[in-house]
Amino acid sequence: MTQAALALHGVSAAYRDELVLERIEASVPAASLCAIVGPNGAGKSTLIKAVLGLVPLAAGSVTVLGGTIAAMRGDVGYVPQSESVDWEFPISALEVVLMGSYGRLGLLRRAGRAERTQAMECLEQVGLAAFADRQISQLSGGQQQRVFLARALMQRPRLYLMDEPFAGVDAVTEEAILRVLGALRQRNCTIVAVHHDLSTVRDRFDHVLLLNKHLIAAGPVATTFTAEALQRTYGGRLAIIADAESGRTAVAAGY
Amino acid sequence: MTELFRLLSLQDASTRVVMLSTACLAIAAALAGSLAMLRRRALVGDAVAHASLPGICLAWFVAGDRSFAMLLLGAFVLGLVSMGMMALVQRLTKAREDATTAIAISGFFGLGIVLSRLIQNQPGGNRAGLDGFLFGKAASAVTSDAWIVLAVAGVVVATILALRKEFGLLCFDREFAAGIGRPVHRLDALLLVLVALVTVAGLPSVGVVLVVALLVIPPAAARCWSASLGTMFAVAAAIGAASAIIGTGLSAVLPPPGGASSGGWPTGPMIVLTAAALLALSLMVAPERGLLTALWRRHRLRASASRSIGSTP
Repeated sequence: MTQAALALHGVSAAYRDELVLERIEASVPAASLCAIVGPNGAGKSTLIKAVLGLVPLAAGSVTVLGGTIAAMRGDVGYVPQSESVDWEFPISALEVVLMGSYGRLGLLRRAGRAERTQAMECLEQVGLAAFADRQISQLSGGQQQRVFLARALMQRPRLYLMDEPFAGVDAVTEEAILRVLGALRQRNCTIVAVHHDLSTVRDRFDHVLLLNKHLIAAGPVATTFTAEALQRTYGGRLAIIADAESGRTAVAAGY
Repeated sequence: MTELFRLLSLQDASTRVVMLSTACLAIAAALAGSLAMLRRRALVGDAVAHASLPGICLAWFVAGDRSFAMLLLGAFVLGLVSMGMMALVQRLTKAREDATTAIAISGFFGLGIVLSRLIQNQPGGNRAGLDGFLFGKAASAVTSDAWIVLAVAGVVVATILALRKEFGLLCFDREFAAGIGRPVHRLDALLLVLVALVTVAGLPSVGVVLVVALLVIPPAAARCWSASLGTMFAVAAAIGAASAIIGTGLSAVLPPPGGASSGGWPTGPMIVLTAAALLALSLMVAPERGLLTALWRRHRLRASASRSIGSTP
């Protein structure tokens, strides 16, 4: 059996003095595309931050690519929610992408020509090469999301942690992100993404963690992402119309 | 008129050093202020400034005579204390940052006023010395004081330029910075220390009440002109330096309000008014964001729209 890209051993974590994750025990196989699914406040973002060490663990431990996060940080890419930053900030798209190289540059070294070339390639991969010098406030929401993805590509990680990469994006961006994720899969990278749109989980991911403070279920989408498991994840706030013939699940999630 | 010429030609050695040190300090404040503003911490400098008044007074009690370096050290220490107290109150009460900052500004300033009254009634507690710290008094500053200010400005500018990319990342995306393993708490603390340093070093020339202007106005003006952090630094530094030089010059050459014996105009308000004028200008005519620029663009748009409507059959 191949080594898990990410393993959570009894992880508990608090957000603002409230325990939002309790004894999570799960692992994500290498080279998989894994969705973290659950209602608002289920601790999805907190889980990602706990893996990165951004929120302290109240209990348990995390293994990333076979090591601790401190040891493997250079191999972990991070795409935060795009609303988490001020998009009026005086900075160009290319400079944001260059931040992906800071981890290997250290505190004092500046990004040079080699990094700029790499950053342009990353922007190209997400279809934004023409926007490199644009100030980020002049980009659309979808383009901003793609700049964040390009920055994670710039980190050249083996494991990508993404907080809602598909949130509020347009069709062009959605297609660009899917293309990039497919290419990353080809290169045996692992992607773990918080995902809200239940109707697209089957199409886009092969692995899923169903989360609501506790881990409800984890495993391959085909066997884990079932109507019954979703009911348990969302409680009574979910109406599911299962279509037996297509095997798809049409869902309306209430919050 | 001859005095104006003397001043502008920088013939007078002490004027030269004072102007140079104030300008360099304004540059340091512009850089630290740009980062503080982008980190949404612009008002911290004001709390430090107001906390420095009791700091100066306590240093006066401890050091006895009026040693410039000791007074600034006292101001710096109490500035750090005020920041520590703001962080503590925020953590304990979950009060918002704006509220705790307002509490610190008024509380420490009240303490400072009480202490300065005590000093006035002490033998040797001359009122004029403390008044200089309230509103700035660069024109009368002595050269050795100016060197201290210059050294502080140099340290702050060097630190910010060396860590420019880290501070840029911290201010833009603190989460990501922490995610790649940056010591974000320590960088945040370092930024606050830099803000405290320039604030305290700005007290002699701009004064407790107005020194925050050096941290806030040049960066605010620079934002109108800048699409990158580098440009913002450069423009803010230029506006800060220009305000310092013009303001110091004005306070030296303008006829004193109450005749020659009244002690002349304080430098602080002159520097701040110059900076505010440059900010107003920036808000009006800056490309992209300027008020007049926007009106002109709207006018052009409307004109071209009405032309194209007129041309349709």
